[in-house]
Amino acid sequence: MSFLRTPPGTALVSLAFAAATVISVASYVPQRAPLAAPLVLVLLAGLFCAVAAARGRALVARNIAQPTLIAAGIAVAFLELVFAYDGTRGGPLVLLTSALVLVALDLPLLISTYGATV
Amino acid sequence: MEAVAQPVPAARPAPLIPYPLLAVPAVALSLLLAAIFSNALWLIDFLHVAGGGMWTGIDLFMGFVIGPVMRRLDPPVRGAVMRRLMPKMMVVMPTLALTTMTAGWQLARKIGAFTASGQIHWLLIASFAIVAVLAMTAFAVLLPANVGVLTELRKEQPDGQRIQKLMARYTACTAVQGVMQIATLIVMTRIASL
Repeated sequence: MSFLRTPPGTALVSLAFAAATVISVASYVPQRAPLAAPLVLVLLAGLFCAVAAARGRALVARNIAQPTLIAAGIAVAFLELVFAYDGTRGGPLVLLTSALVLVALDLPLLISTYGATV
Repeated sequence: MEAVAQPVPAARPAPLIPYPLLAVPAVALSLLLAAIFSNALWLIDFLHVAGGGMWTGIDLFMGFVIGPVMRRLDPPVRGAVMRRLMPKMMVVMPTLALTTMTAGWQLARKIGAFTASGQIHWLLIASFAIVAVLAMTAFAVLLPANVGVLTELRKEQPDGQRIQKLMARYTACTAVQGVMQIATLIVMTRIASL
């Protein structure tokens, strides 16, 4: 339980909510997913990401955060490309994009603050 | 005339991941892009099956073969092995995961698995959940532990206890990964045989 209160733990909770958002939208493809539940999930992911950033700001190891941010950005761009290429549009695409952006922010936060807290 | 000592600029620390290793994701992701935009079913299938097979195989091999061997090595030898192995793992594993997942998504779309009802639909959702657990354990424990061990080993005086603690977490996590990988194999072979 104590790990979840640390910056990497909080980033992990955010990551879990973001992943749940992607799964809940993607599991309806090719139909349009109902957006209420994913919207709540992505808002929770954003909230926990902000808390993780606030808690971990001073602990971020920049030499680890920068390459991780670039790698996560490339990976997320690929997933975004795949969803857009497959014809996902409108609300579902906005939710997926928001969740993927949060994933790209959570990963460097998680990995670059892990060393200072664990 | 007295010689004036010039200040020696501090050496830049070597990058965590050697740059030539980045050719691996560059090639894999270029192939993936080519497969997606050319709508080449065979190439997509190949990338999904080959990537998934290597991802699962390396995970199980690391967890059940390399892991136990590493535990029996002397600490300096273990350190030397990890210093060479970890950067490669940090590049290869996320590349395999991304390639497998993206190609798998495209493959499912092309063969109409998303519009299938009944068992295939639920097996697909189960595979999403398994991938989520795999990703969470990888990002929560494996990758940070990798980075932590590598950072520690690059210090002049590595903290052996810290390395041991991180490696204990790493090993425990590989068991979870192993179970999830076997679950993936079951789900994927079930989908393929329906």
